[in-house]
Amino acid sequence: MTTVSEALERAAHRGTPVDPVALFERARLDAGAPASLAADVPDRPRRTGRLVPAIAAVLVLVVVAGVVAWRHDDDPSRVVTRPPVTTMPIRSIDGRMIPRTSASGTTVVLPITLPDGRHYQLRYPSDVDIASLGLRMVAQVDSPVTAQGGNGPMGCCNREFTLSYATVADLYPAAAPIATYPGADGSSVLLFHASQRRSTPSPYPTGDYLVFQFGPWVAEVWDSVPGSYAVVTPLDEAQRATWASQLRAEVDPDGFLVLRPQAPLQLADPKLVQVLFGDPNTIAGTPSISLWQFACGQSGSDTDVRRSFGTTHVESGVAWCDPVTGFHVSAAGSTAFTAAIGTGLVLRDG
Amino acid sequence: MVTRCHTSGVADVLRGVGATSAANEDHATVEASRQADEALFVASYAALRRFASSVAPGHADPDDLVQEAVARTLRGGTLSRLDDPLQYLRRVVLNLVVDLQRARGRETRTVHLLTVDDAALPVYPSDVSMLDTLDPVDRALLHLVDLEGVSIADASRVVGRNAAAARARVMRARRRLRAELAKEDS
Repeated sequence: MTTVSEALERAAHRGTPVDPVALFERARLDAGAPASLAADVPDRPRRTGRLVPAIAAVLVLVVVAGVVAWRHDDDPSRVVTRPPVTTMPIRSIDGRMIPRTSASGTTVVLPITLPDGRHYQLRYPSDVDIASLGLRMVAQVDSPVTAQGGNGPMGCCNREFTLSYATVADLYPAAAPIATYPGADGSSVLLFHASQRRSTPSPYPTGDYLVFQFGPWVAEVWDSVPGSYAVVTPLDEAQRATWASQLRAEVDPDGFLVLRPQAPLQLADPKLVQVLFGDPNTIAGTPSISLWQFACGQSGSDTDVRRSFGTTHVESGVAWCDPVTGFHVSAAGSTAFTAAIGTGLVLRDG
Repeated sequence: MVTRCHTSGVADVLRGVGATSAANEDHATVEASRQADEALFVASYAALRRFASSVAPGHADPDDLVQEAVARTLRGGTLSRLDDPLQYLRRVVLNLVVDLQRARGRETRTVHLLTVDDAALPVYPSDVSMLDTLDPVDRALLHLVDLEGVSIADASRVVGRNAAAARARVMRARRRLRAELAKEDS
């Protein structure tokens, strides 16, 4: 009898490997890079097909069903039909990422990765669409510095900031930055006034922002808030340069941004990370959900009892502290939306 | 509902502030980056292709998946920027397979409605096609843990599950595959 190992070994060696240098060059060209001068890359027809939308793929299959077959180049005895590869590019709405989901029966499974790399899942009934609300994240990175005057270390320059699924040009259209700082890997980090932003930034509507582009994500780190917010300490030139060069991040395979701050920057308390679905700053009744571990486990915090709040004729809310993940869940929107969330949303460790 | 086509806007902003660099330096930097990425990929290709071959359903070509995974990754930046390019690419391959399977499910349902001749469907050695009965995540875990000797913790990171869930899935997948192999043998 074939053993599990033998079956796995056979599966891992299907077909004949190709020249990896040529394959890499083809991938570069697919990604839009200019052809390498050294490359003389023969065309290799894809056996699995090109990217096409699912509906077009079905139409292609219908047209060729029972008629078209390709012979595998090195195995004439194999007759292979080739459904096209379909991939689902990550969509977004107004600077919020629409994450991938999967279905488990009538339950939608929505995995998320937090900016510190932790994984969680939201599970909810398929008649509610949380994913399409789109999500932003709020993260905090600390930069401890020593106080002047020899009075010991003083916490300074910690920054809470928003991560949006957008480009700098989207958020600051046709804006010339106040200053530019060298970022990681040859990138540039730009300083803008809040007034240059297309919409009001948070948390400070009148501050300046250090703006980072990490792949499809933008991080906006506030700075130099005017006197009405006198309790905050602005960054000086050297500290801005440090933030610019040492705040790093990478996009994980699911499209989420994971922060990799380098010393002296460091990730802050993980409970401060916040996940925001939808946009709460719109008209009443627009659905939104907030997940925030910091709001649980304190005096006066919610419990695991799902508590209704703020009920009016156009909207209502529901909130609770999830006992599995420790997130405080707060959802608001139409009565139907909050009822579905209140009864059906489950959080799990990823 | 508005969706946006995202391209990097940083290049446009740099032009707006008058940032320039010598063309020759640009070419040298880009070429060095390309060579570094090519070297990284060549070193990872064999392992990545084996992984793609294990997790892909029988009708998908492993090299197509590898090529698509690399293209998608390069659209977000260089391979050199990644802490663990092989792990990252494995995850992208797995995501592609999951998408492919989902789309295939929709197509299969539609095709069956149109009464397709089953003789047109591919025929593979039975133990390979038996792996198709497993979920792609389970196939990925079995490959990593049982073939490559990767720890459950590291394998769980590739498939995006916590270690406890990954361990349970590996055990269930082994039992199921053994049962399928025994059934085929009898």
